[in-house]
Amino acid sequence: MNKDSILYKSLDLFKVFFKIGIFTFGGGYAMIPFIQKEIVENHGWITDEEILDIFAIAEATPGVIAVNTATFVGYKISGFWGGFFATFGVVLPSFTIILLISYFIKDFLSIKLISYAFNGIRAGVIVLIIGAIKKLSKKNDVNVFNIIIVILTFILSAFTDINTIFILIGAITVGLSYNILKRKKES
Amino acid sequence: MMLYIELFFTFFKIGLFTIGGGYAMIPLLQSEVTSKGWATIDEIVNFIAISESTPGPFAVNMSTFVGVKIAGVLGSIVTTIGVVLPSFIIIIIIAKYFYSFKENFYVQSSLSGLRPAVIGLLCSSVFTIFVHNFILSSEQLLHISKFFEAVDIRGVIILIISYFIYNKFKLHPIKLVLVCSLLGIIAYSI
Repeated sequence: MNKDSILYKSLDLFKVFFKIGIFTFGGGYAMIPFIQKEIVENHGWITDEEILDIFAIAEATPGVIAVNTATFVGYKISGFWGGFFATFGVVLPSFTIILLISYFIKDFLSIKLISYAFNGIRAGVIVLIIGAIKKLSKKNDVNVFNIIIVILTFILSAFTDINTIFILIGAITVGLSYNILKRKKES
Repeated sequence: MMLYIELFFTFFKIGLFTIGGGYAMIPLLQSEVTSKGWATIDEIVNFIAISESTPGPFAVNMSTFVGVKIAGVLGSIVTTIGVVLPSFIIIIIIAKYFYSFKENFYVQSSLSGLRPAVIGLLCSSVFTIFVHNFILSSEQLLHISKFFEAVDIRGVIILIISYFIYNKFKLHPIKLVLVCSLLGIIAYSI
């Protein structure tokens, strides 16, 4: 098979991202060092500078960072099918594992000791989400605009029945209007 | 058939509006899935815990869990494709046409509103999960004498302990899950 052929590269991408999919625990951000090692160092498909750009875009676009990155890298290397096989590769391991776990989960959870463990884990989940909140907060400036939005979305989400998607659309609208008005004022 | 279509569109929506990382999916998934009666908050929190401890993208794990619970293997395929498709489509478009995507004024402006909103939503999730799991009875909360019956003290203690351990030792999420399971077994067996 021709090494440069799209098919060969796509299968290679599938294998690499399958590996990344299996070995990263804990979500998208944890994948970043792994992706960098495999894609930049081991395969030389992309440079370090390009990978930073890709991560920035992957973070700023909707969807899961891991999937965004896989699609982007795959597409850059081997067009549409590269993107497809990279994405398929990164998604397949978790999908399969979760499917297996889900079949045993009801019996698993009915074991008393396990349900006690999960009571404890629930507290842990709260700690993890708080950790994510702190991490995300560091990336944003502390200004009046941000604080108002944080408080407003918290109140609307926790205490009203307003659909979360409408809240997010509202946030986009506020962001757009605020910046458009600001730009008008400056010119 | 209708169920599969509904699952697909719900998870497509979730995938479309999850910005800034897997956790951002939690508030949206929570509201969509509980309002449709597809899962309870308890089940969602269990899924979160397991999704954190298993390999792979968090959002994919969560979608697979809910999908298989509602509609078996086919359901999980539908939800997973649903949640992945928006990213896939958008990235292909971006990679093709807008390399200067991140510099674009309108994109930046939209993100400036979205980023703090995601933080607010996550705070709301924490609040909801906390109240749901640890506040056993809101009426009794107001009576000082009944306070200890109204709150799951063991849970709150585990919460405080694990918060300190997590931050002091910068634990990997999996280790935190293990520590909490141990604490849970100890605390609730007493």
